[in-house]
Amino acid sequence: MSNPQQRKQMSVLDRLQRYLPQLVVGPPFLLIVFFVYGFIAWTGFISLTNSRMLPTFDFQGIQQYVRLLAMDRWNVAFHNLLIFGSLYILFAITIGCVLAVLLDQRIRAEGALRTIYLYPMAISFIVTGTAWKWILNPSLGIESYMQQLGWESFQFDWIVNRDMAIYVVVLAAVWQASGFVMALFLSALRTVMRTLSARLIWMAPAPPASTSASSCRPCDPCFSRLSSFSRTCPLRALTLWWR
Amino acid sequence: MATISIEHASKSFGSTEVLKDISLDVKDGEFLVLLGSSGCGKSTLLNIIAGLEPIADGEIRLDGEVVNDVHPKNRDIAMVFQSYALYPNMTVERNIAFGLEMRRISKAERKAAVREVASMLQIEHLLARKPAQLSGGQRQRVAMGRALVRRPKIFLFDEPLSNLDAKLRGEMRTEIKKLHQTLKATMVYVTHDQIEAMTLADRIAIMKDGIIQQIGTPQEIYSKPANMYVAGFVGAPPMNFVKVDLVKQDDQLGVILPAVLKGEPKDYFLPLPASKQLEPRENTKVILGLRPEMITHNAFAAPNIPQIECDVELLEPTGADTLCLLHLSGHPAKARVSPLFACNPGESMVFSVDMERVCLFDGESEALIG
Amino acid sequence: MADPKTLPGASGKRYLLGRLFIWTLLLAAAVLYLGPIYVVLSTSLKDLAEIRAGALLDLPHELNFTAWREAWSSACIGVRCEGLRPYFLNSVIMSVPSVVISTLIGALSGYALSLFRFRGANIIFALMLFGCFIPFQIVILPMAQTLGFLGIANSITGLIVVHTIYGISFTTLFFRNYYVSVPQELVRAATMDGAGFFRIFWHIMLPLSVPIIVVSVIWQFTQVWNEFLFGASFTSGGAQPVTVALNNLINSTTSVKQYNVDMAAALIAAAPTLVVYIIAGRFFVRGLTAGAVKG
Repeated sequence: MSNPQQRKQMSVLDRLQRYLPQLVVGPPFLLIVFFVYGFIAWTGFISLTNSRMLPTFDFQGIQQYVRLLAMDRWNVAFHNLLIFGSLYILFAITIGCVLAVLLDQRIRAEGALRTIYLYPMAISFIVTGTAWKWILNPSLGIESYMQQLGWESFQFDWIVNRDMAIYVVVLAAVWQASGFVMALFLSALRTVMRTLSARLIWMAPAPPASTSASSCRPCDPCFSRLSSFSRTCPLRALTLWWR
Repeated sequence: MATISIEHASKSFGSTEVLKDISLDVKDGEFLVLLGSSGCGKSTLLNIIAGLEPIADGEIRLDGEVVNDVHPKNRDIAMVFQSYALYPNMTVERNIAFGLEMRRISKAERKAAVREVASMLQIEHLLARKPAQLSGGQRQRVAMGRALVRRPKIFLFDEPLSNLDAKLRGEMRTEIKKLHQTLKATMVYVTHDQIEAMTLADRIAIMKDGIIQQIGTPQEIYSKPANMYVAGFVGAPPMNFVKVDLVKQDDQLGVILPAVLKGEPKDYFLPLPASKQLEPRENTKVILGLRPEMITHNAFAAPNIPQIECDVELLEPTGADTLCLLHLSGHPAKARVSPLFACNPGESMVFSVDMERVCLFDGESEALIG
Repeated sequence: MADPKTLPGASGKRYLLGRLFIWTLLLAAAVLYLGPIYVVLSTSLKDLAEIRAGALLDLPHELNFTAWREAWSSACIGVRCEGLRPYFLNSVIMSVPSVVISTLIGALSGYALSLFRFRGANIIFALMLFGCFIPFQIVILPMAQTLGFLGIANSITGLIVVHTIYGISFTTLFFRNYYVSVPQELVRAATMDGAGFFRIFWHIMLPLSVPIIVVSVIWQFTQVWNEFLFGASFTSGGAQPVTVALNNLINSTTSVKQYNVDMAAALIAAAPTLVVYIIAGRFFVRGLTAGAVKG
């Protein structure tokens, strides 16, 4: 045995081993710091200069922002974004929530329907745009088809109408995203029901299986949990998704 | 040959101090149990011995060598975990052999070592299974096998039996004790179960709030508990505590036990043996610690043993003994009597009190004073 | 909700009406979701004369794959008339390394962040998570300069780098949240057994990670394959990914509008992610909700 007072030294490898987690996380973390935070700062900085094609360091304060806000195109874009953003979120969430609740009623073909509702999520928005542009094309698309069927006065030419085109974008975007929202709500509903039934079993040792559903009446604890769930529905869905 | 020696170890997580200046020696081949309720720091102490937690202050030595900075894998220690921590993706065989595999031991040797351990633990028929296909007891055995196969000089157990049902726990307890007798290895065992501690340990270290309250053989801990915490933690049912006056009657030091007889308070003077040497504390309040078996029926008691008569509120038959809940004023206390002699609940009964074995504690510091 | 039959007051007739109502809504929704893909598919199989006749929702008179052939190998995109094929291959070359590398990095950093809770691990994770939420427009300009500086502007390599970096946030999130449910004792046990950081990862964690690897691969693949902004901003001509090429094809005004070729091209561009989704979509949702260790 060696001198008991002598400290056994850590080998270099052991020392390295101790800091491996940090060493492994370090590079990706620095990448994110540079390419996300750094670039945001970089963009922010350039926005305060009078750079054109090439960046310059000629600091100008908020002059570019003043110019931008005065631009007509900015106003149009901003207006459109407000319309698009609010309608898109509203419809995607509403439709997604309704579909999730309907699908949660013990539907036999749930798997197939879920796949159908969800598939647009897998498609590039370029493809989605191509498809809807074609469908809504006034001379060859749905409008002319309805007219051919005999509905002479049918008109749906929003896509070529400057004032209405943004609503068509909403239509296509909702078509693409609402299935995804449905999936989020569905998994949230399922998780809540699972913890609920687990809790019910825990509270009452052996509830007959058939009554476990009908026990959810107003003023039962599970009912209050359900209603509190519906209040926090969107938030819960997101947190469940990100966990 | 494996000794563990911890000197002035401290450790905190954030602002909570989990270990406060702990010093502890484990002899070669000793079975030491760290006993305490959850959060007392016993698992942290175990992790520090294993090297899984760095130590903030102090020294830890294995066989006299300071190992503060030695990686767990180089300490020649094996550990059994509460959740068993079996690798879910590997068969039982590979689970047991994994430690050898990591130490680059040849396949043939690994196989032989696994066979040997498996036959010792009677799990040969399980070797091809995955952990998910095993029962709790079987998983426990595999976890033991994983520790055994490396033949380490020190074994650490972190509440290894707490996930088992009572019957299995008793069986595994016996097996661990047998194992210790066969291997003669140094073992440190963490538990919150005092029965496990009493049955397994060569010595017990009782911990509370990051401080070792007492270290000693199970018998020492039981009969001479260092303070009221230890006295109350070890023994089932726990020791009875009665606040009493320490007085002198007829030139003999004793305590006044406030009993209740037929609904009326009745004080008994119980003389203390001279060996207690508590004269300086005459006329103060102390706490009398009485284990249930020290209060018993007086059928065969010698004439000089003090007796009390007291109301019995209710009975708890346990088979071998019956526990009587005595009516002492302000302090319910349990007595252990033979079922043959137990009275009916609500009646009164004469008990003899074994004053030779009682413990006395300071009312303030709760430390043992006699 | 539970079986409506067991709900109080659910008489047979009302129950049937309710079911009818639910099914009508669900099937109507299914038609709306399937409609566009049906229209695109049927248009791609028609010839131009039939398309001009205007019967949008009718089935094609005969199956005509000319448009598909043209979209794949001879349609003109810009000045090149080689169809989508070279761009499709670009997208393959771009997405495979991006998906593999970002998943690997995410797995390692998720493992380090969840099972080795070193000081600051949670803050680092929170900071990395923010990368999930940035709109890519905000990094376009600096990224273009950086790619130029690195000499990989207008190249598929450049796009691989970009997609890998901006995928790390998501993959780290997936793996970190998956590994959080792995008991820490498993790592401790393996440490006692003598395994180090990488061997624990390789021998114990990776075999447990199949569900979340599937999630990460599906997510990254759909993101990278479908991405348009980076492709359009950082590449031109022969280095473009398929989404950009598709957009150029559809918006080209050089010749007579061939709707059937456009539709076939759209389907070709969408095919890989659709196939991945149809084959592995259910593993995606399952993997996201799966705990790591059972037993």
